[in-house]
Amino acid sequence: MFQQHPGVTDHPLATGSTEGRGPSLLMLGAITCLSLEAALIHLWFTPEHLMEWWGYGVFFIGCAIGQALYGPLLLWRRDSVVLLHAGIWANTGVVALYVVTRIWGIPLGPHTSMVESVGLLDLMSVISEVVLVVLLASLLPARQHRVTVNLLMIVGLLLWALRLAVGTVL
Amino acid sequence: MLTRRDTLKLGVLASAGLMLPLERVAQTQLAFAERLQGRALSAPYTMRFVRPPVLHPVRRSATTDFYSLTMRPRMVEVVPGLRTQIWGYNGSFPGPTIHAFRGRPTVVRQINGLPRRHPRLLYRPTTSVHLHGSASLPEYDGYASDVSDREFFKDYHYPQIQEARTDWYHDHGVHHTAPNVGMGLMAQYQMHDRLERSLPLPQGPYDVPLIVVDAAVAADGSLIFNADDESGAFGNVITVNGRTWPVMNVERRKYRFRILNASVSRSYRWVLSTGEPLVVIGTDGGLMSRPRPVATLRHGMAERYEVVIDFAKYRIGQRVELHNLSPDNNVDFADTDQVMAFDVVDQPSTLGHNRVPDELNPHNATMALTESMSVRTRQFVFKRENGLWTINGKTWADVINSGFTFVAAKPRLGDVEIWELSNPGGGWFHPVHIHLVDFKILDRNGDPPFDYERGPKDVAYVGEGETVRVIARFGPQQGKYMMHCHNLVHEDHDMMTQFEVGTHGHDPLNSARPLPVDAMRPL
Repeated sequence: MFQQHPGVTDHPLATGSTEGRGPSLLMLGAITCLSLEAALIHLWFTPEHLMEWWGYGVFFIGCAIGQALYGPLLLWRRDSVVLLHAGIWANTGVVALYVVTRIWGIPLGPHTSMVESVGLLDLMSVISEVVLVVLLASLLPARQHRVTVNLLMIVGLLLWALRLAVGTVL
Repeated sequence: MLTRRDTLKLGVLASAGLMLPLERVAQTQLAFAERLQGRALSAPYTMRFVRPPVLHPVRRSATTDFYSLTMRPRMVEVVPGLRTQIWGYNGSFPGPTIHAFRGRPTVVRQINGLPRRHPRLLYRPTTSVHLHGSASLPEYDGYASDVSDREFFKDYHYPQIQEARTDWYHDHGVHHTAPNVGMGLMAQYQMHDRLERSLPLPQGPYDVPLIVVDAAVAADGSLIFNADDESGAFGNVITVNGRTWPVMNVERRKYRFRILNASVSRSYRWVLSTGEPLVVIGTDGGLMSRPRPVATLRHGMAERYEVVIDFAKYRIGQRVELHNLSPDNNVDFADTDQVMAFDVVDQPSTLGHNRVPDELNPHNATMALTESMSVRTRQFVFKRENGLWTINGKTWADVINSGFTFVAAKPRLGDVEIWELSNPGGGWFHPVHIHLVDFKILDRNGDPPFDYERGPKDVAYVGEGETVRVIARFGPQQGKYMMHCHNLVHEDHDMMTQFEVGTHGHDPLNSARPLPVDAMRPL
């Protein structure tokens, strides 16, 4: 069960939960579906990246497995704040890495500095991950929620700042 | 529940995740959609033809000529009235022509003076310079992963041991070759020898380099690079020696044109508007055994064809146009079927060197190779697999992952081998370049090679569904050399492998590392 903070009346549990015992089944279903969609997309691209380098392949398989298992894990431990944080920051990391590889290039491996192309499937995956992060953040206890949302905003600002620091495209 | 403030904060992350990647796509797509076209673009045949500058040595020793070049950005006029930022060797688009002579080695210092980032793609421009057509030692061959960073330089040593030919030098930096060349990093390097000089072929002002490149130019004059999901980058304007659809004034006599297709992804099929033949006298590896008149000629990326056009057949005031009957699987736009025009303006000022002899170079060693001399046949399949451009299922990433030890073939020094180059795909063609060697094309899907291919080559146009068999003697150097598709977008996305000749070759990566410019001493 999520920890209740004193004085917090609009705790996210109240909105996303069933009888105050965690997120609703609807919310969990949405999270599971989104995570599974992202997992399938990562799985789809695994052979291509495995051909390029075992490191890329392992990363994609890791993402696929993690995202596929995340929904069931959350269903099993629906009161785990740690699991919520793990989902938020793992998906945020994947999104940030996606941005880096599409703007500045791949940070390591044989394709270091090569800028990847943007495709429909990978955009769908990013959309799922961003929505996942938003949903998971909304389930955090109030104080953690506030801090987390601020940190996520800082990650976003850092990405924008890096983009601006590199220079304008046109 | 998310408050409005939360939504705004999370929107910063969401916008970064989605909009930053889309921004890059949108910028390219919008720029390409808004590229100069129609009336905004000057009509073909309005710009005057120019020749690339000639590079002179900074020093000549008793045995060697020394040159120095700096890769740097410059604003030039590619389209009338607009300033376009290019990257050029010495800031020239295309770069300056080097004239070298057989038996006299050269050293070319290449300094990377490029900006910190590509103006659109934002990558850090590292470079490697390949002298295409030269049997250079491995460490001077422009090995893709042997890159010079910004403010580094490398002295490339070229042996000049081959017969006269039209070589060219261009960028070969791993993963960035296409945009680097697309920005202008290419130039001719003409090798001459006694035989060539003794022939009555057009020389001096009548021996003309034509470097053909297509480009997409934005409304502000900047170059657009659109790799179209890694399939190829095509432009809507055709430039010759850096000018769009230029007009060249010619005299009523013969001219020798050294045509280099330096385009990133576009192939051409040349034809004259008058229907007169093009007399092909040379291919990638130099002069053919005899001239071959052809009505049309298919010209893949990186191939060089030397043709003679006789303007004596035309009256003064007549215009002859060089057109492009685009081969399959190019992306065509209005006017990409036109290339340049020749205005016949004068009687010849000299009739010296105005003949194409019946015999040019009948004793070329590569053209003397026969199938019976081959000790081995190898197959190489060029195809797209799992979204990757592969050669026998491998990519350059496999070479990197192996610590540069993986080789697709290990011919012994001096061995003659037949290599079968296959393209099972129907949606693209692959001009395949084998470094180090000249080869002879034996056949194409079992049929004899085209007339214009019957000379020494280092690029084979492997068309849709084609298998091209080539024969070569592996040498004269030992070591690791690359083979790749010369659609530079395919090459950058890893349709490249390496082979090793002999067992005692120099390490292409570590034998001659680029040095910081601070450590530079006079040549």
